[in-house]
Amino acid sequence: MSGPDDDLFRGWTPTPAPPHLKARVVSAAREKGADTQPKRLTDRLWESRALRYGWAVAATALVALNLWLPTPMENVSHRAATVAKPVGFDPVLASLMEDRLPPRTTWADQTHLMHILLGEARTVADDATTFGGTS
Amino acid sequence: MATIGDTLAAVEFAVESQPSSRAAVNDQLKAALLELNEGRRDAVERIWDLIADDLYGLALWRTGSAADAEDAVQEVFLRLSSTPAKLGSVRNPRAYLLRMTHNAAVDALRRRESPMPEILPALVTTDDTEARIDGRRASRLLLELPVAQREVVFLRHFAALSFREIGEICNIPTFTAASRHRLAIRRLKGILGLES
Repeated sequence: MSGPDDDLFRGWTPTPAPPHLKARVVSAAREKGADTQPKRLTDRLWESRALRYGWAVAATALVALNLWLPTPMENVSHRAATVAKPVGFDPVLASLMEDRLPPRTTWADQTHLMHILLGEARTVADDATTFGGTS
Repeated sequence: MATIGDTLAAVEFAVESQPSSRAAVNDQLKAALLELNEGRRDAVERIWDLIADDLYGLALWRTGSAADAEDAVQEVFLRLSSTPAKLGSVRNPRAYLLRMTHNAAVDALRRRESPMPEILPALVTTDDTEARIDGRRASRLLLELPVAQREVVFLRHFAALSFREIGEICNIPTFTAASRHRLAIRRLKGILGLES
């Protein structure tokens, strides 16, 4: 170094490490290193500060996004979802309808009517469940 | 009259004018530490060759005892060998190792039971015949400095570190490091009759 106060120590240098110390320290350090088992990958990952921060940030971001983003079905009304349920052919209902329908009712009209009746019946049942009705 | 700021700027410039050799030592230290991390224990010897004199000098100036300094340096190398993985991401390994030595020397001072030796064997002569003060006298003068100031003088003049680095090593603010250095140099110059 060539600072303004260097003249004070010109011609002098700090005492170097004694030669006998090198052999002692190096051998002791090697023994210590040999005693220390090499760490597993999982331990190294756990001890990595960057990885721990990354994990915490990712987890926090996932929780925040889960709270912030709306679920896909949130905007679909419960009633519409119920009505949209597919209705199959009901043989019991068909036998009840047989006596009450006009003689020339087409098969397509019968199925359409069955869909309407079953849809209404399910909606009524769901409403009863939702509002606690038992009758 | 030069202000403290002017003095600091001049000395900082002098330190920064030698970045290449320090950077080279740091690069070699990083490489050796990585090798040690990979289990190559012969890297310990390379680390020793690169920095042992600096570590021993700091420990000696801090503790004032050759025996304590040896213990402190050994402790640093044992810790290096047992936890090399922690050193993989150190940006300035030279400063980091000096800090480890500072801490080990402070611990050694706390444990010490015997009084300080009469003469600190802090300096040896080089072949330069222009030495302004004799080494024995210089060592005695250094003993008159407070330990904290003595340590800053060593790190500044012989380890060629910036005040910011010295502050990080000694765990003190940068300005405090500069202030300790200024007080120490003024005191030494006063004792030697060199004060202008």
